[in-house]
Amino acid sequence: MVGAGLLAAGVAVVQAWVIAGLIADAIDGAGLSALWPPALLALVLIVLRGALAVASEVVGAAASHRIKQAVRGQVLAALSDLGPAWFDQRASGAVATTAVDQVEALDGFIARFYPAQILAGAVPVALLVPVFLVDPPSGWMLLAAGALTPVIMGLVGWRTGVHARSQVTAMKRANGYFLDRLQGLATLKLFGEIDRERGRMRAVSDDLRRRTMGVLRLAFLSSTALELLSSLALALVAVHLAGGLLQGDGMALAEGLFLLILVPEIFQPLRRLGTHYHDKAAAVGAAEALLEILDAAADLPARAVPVSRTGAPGLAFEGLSLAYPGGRRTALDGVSFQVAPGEVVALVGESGSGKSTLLSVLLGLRRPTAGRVLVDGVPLDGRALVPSLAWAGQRVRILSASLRDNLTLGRPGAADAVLTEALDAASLGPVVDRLPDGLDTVVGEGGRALSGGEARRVALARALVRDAPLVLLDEPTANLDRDSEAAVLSALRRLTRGRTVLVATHSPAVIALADRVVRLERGRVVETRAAGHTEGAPNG
Amino acid sequence: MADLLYFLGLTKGRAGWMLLGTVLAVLVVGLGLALLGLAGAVAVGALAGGAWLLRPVALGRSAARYLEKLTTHEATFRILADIRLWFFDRLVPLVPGRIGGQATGGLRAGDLLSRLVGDVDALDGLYIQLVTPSVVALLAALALAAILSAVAPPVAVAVLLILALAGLGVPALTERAGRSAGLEQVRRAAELRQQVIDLTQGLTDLIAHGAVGRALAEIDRVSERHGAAVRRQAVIAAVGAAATQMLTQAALVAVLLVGVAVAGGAGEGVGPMLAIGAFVTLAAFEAVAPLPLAYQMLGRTRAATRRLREVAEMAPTVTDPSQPLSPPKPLSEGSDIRLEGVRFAYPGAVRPALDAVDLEIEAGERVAIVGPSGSGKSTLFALLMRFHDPDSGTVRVGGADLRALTQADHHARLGVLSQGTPILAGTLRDNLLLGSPEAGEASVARALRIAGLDRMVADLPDGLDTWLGEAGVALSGGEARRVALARVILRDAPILLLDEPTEGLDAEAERAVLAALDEVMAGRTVVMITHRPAVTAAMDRIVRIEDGRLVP
Repeated sequence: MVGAGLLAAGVAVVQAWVIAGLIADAIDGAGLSALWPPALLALVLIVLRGALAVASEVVGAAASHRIKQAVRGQVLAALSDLGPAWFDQRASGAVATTAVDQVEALDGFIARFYPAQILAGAVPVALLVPVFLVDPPSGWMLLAAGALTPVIMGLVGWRTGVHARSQVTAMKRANGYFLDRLQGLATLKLFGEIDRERGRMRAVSDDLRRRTMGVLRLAFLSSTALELLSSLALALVAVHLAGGLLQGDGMALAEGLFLLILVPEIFQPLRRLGTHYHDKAAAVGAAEALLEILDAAADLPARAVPVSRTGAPGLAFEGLSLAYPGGRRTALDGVSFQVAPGEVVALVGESGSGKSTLLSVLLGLRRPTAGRVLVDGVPLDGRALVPSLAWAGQRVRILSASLRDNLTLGRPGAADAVLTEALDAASLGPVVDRLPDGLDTVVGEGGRALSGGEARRVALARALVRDAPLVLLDEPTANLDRDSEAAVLSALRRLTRGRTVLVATHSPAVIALADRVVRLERGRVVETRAAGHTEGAPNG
Repeated sequence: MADLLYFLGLTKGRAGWMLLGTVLAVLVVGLGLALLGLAGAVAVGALAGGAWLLRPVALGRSAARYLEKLTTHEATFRILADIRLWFFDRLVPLVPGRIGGQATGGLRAGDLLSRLVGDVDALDGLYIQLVTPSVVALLAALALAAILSAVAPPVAVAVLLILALAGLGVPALTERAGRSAGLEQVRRAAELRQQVIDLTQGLTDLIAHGAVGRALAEIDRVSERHGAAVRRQAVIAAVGAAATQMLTQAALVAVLLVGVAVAGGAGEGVGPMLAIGAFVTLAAFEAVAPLPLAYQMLGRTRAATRRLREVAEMAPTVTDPSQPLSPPKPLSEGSDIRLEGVRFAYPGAVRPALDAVDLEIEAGERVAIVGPSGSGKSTLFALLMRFHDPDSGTVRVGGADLRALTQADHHARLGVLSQGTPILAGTLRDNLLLGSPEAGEASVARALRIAGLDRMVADLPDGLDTWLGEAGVALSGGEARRVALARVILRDAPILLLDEPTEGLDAEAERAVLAALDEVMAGRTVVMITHRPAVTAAMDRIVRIEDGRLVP
């Protein structure tokens, strides 16, 4: 890329010389026949230069593409490693902006600013050599003007970082805000908030515009200053040459024209640098947003080696405490209890008492601030337990994909027979029969909407398909009517057989399925008792 | 072209800004012509006395350029903000009837975000890059024609031919080449954004199912395609820029050759004039240089405009009447509900979601709606909120057909707790005051107490000013529901539509909330979806729905 740029600079010198000769000869009254050969040569050089410019851009674009692809992959992998806990304080709309738009913002820097920066250092110096050879005074003038360039860039640039940061922050905020409002639009409408919301949207847009203009004002200032410098240098040299030519101090017309044509060429790389300055500003802001994620992921402990188990594991919670970051209330406070292999334990307690947090520790989504969990006597490390567990969360998330993809999420390629069995166990058979494309029907957002009860049963069927020795369930019967609840309970009975199960619930029917009940209150275990277990429930 | 004109039409409010930007751009090119012409003349000694003019002209041009860039960008960002708001206004009537909710084949939130952000931003090409540069290039071509015609008409013809190639031919080619790349770029960007949002919002499930690797690989594929489109755009842009550059220099050579041929050795005076002509040519070509890129981006802009219009021109499921009935005064007048022969099927659905539903609910009555999931309970609520109109039959509230009222007037008398009621990004106070911004501290405290939230609020680090929502304190499912309940209590509406208000509560907490709700429900018409026996006991009447029909 840079090589092509330097080569192009060499061609530019030759081309300037040829064209200057052409003009001088024409002015001297040379005939058309004498002008043809150098004119042809000039055209060849022109095409050569164009080809070199294209080549350098193509290489730059390819490099930028590779780097962006790698960075995006790393950032998304880092986000996955950080897990949902990272999103406690960040909106997913804002994170999407980082992984999509901020990575794209690197493009201008890699493909344009960076090579322009190298060329801006090398090309003007190289082009000054022929200038000094032809007319040293002009050379000194241009050298002085060129030396001002870093000063100008420095003066303009030292505030850019601050502005770029503020702009990226505003952009992330705007995107997070927009996504949030789009997802809550029906509520805003019902509550008569649309007019006030318009005002807020206007304010968010205005804030973003002001900050973006803050960055651009500086970027434009730098490109204008460099352009002005180039114009003034051209004027200076022109006046100097005109004086020289008028006094007839021996300089040939061709030489004067050569210098005049070369002046813009000398400043061109510098002007390019100025033009692409906002690419740099954008990339600086973007890089900080990206590094925030990458650095946070780098601070994570080494990824735990996943252990796959076949038998139902026994669990022991030992003084488990967990405080949410930012001095928020303690979610778990010295939780200790044991779960025998194959035991079904119901976690009960008011909402917010720590049930979901406890489950998220087993998933490896949150790290306890104190205490530990032993799995078959071995301390749990991060997400090591994930391959051995099946999970159905409180807020069921149906992927916007086919029902089959939803069911096989935890076991890709599971046979249809397995899926059908799981669907029957979750009493979903009739529902699937009614779907236009059966298992291949697209469900979820943008597809066929599933009712709350159907979605829960899909989540349980998914857990059955996963077929893992440890099962974690978070309020599996919430929002269900009695018929659906009955269907879910029968699926649950099936799911608990031969497995260790932890289920957070309020439902007496689910509690009845458990061997033991552990009651949490504000992050503490306040009661552990045996449940009225309905032993050997028929046809699970 | 129609798409582009449509969006140009939306800029009317910013005509002053756009005009100022264009005038400044013309000034820049004019001063550029003057500067290079002067420099040429001075250099060859034709206008030695004019040397002093160079510095002010150069300064003026740079200043004008700076102002021009600031103005056009400022204008563009203002226009984009206008369009974003315009799009939002179009979106509001479509939610949740056509978008979100139960709408099948509808658009996804991530896709809407792409439109609201990415596609609206892509319109910047229309204003900064297209309109102003085209006007400027045209004027520069006219100026060049005038000046060169004075020097030598054949030179003018030759240069204008090459200028036409650079200003019309090359942009036409880049426009053609950029069409499919632009479309691909816009589509893949939207897809990429959607997938990243899916990843972040579904991360827990993906992790729990060991499916993160697969999701990342899928994103990588889309990102690769998007990157390939961006790279193709870069190559097209490079070729366009190089072509313009080559034509500029070729024009320079042409000026000389044609000039010499015409002059045929006519003497000393011709030379300087030719040199001036060459410099003026350079300046004029500078004015057409931005065009190839501008026209290349037209494909992307057009794809974006189409995506915006696609949504903006959807027909809403319900519209306000042109002459709405005035809302009852006070709002609590007439809060009885009557459904007569209501039948409703979602678009594309085989079976109706509700059929032959007759239901009378007196003002102040409390009715529980029960039935299996998918039986039509939520649809009944959707009709009561007028997110849809029945296919046949009528829904009347206070004696008036809902179709005769504005949606805003109807919504003003509803207090709705739905299953998916979201917590919006904002403070707890913002969330509570949604829909009742004037509520005082006392009523907020009362609502918190009734919803059983007072203890949780006391635990929060910043109390009512704690930031909630996706980027704030994560509430548990039950807490979020109680916030939504408190919101409804504050709303103080004569008609309450409550979907499982005690969900996520254990039996004890449920009793407490129910006792408190009793106070809230007093004197209001209440329709409540529930399956909890403890709740139905507190209601006057139970209505059962099965397969879209009321069961006696």
